[in-house]
Amino acid sequence: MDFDFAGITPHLPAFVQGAFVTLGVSIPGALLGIVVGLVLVAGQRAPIAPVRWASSTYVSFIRGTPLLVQIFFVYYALPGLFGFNIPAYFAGVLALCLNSGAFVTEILRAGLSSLPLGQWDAAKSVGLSRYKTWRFVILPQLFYRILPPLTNEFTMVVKATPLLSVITVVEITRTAQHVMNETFRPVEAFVVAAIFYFVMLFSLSRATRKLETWAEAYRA
Amino acid sequence: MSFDFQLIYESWPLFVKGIAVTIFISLISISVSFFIGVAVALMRLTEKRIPVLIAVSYIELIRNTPFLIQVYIAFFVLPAVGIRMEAMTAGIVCLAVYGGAYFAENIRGAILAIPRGQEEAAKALGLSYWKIQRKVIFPQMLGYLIPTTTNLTLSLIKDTAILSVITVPELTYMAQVMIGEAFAPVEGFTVIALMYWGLNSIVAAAARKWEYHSCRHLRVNADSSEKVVVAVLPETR
Repeated sequence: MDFDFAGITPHLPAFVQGAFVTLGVSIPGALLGIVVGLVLVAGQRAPIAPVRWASSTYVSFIRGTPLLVQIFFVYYALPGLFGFNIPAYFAGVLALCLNSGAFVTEILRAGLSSLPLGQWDAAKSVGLSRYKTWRFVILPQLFYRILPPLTNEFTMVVKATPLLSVITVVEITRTAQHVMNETFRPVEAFVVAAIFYFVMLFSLSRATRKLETWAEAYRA
Repeated sequence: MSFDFQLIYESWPLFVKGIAVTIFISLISISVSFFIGVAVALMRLTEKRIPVLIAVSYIELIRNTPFLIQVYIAFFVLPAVGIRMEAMTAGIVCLAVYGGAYFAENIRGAILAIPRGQEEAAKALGLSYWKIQRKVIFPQMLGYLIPTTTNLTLSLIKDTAILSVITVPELTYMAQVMIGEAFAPVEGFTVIALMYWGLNSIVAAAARKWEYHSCRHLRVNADSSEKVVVAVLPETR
């Protein structure tokens, strides 16, 4: 078996462009995922029982079904349900953020429950308002606790983006498929794609570890 | 908007076949990947340069590349080096190798989580090597091992869906066949989503029961489900 990466080099710009599309779906996907997660956390603490049930069911459903099926559902089934077509890119971002939200909920919930209840009591006893309690006492502490797991969640989102190639989002994996069809060199094309992903994901996971030690130091 | 139950009823055999294949693939590849995980974790803990290097590069390579890319590479590379496999076999191999890297880290974490003093204390009491492992180390490891293994199992069951891209006839592939024939994406994807959800819920409930029974010794007191050992669950998809 012989490798021939020379045939692949002219396509490197296409891979770089694919890498930008990968980031272009994962960054909005992850950010909107945080919004979805916030809504779900609020829903799980809502005073109305059906709202609590709905958000818990949503989290359980998303965590219990494959992302690939969720992507298919958003891209192929939602247009049938609502009667309008969604471009592949937006379907991808939508699927990612709906999925990521369920995982962010757990991060936020764990972060909130790791704060001692005494923090709220202490804030109240020094006469802080509800807004000031959140702004100066809870959120700063929460931030350092959830930043490392949120970075990890972003890594997970990036790692999930190749699945969007099945609904024709031209990110790294789809680019590799195009290159394979042009050069008839599948192995080289996917190895190059793997290298691109490895560089992105490895640096992200290293950054997460750095953040963890940094947050640990802040807390101590 | 209409939901065609008749259609679902007619394609029922397809879905049953699909979930049977999904369960079959999951069972084999998850058991194999557990053993790969044990072997690689022990390799990584040897403190000898070459085995550690092999173990670390395997773990980092697999964990830092997407599963879909690994599946494609295996699907195209293996025939190129003369290994011909059916899609199903290739899928099982991929999933086992993928899961092995995650199991290795979980098992290593469980081993490292037991303080060395436990082993030393047991030795001081005159217990033999195997008695120490069986009566002292292993029961304490369970508190870490069961939750992480459960999480990983659930996420590997979900990852079997990705094998549909290399035409493994599991549940997602069957849904695509049914949708291709009847053009009913809403019905098809809803049914398989519910089936995956059901399967995962059953596995999760069984695991919770198992954990409840086998971690009795780790509880704060007999009635509480609160454990002395609190494992950190990895958030995996």
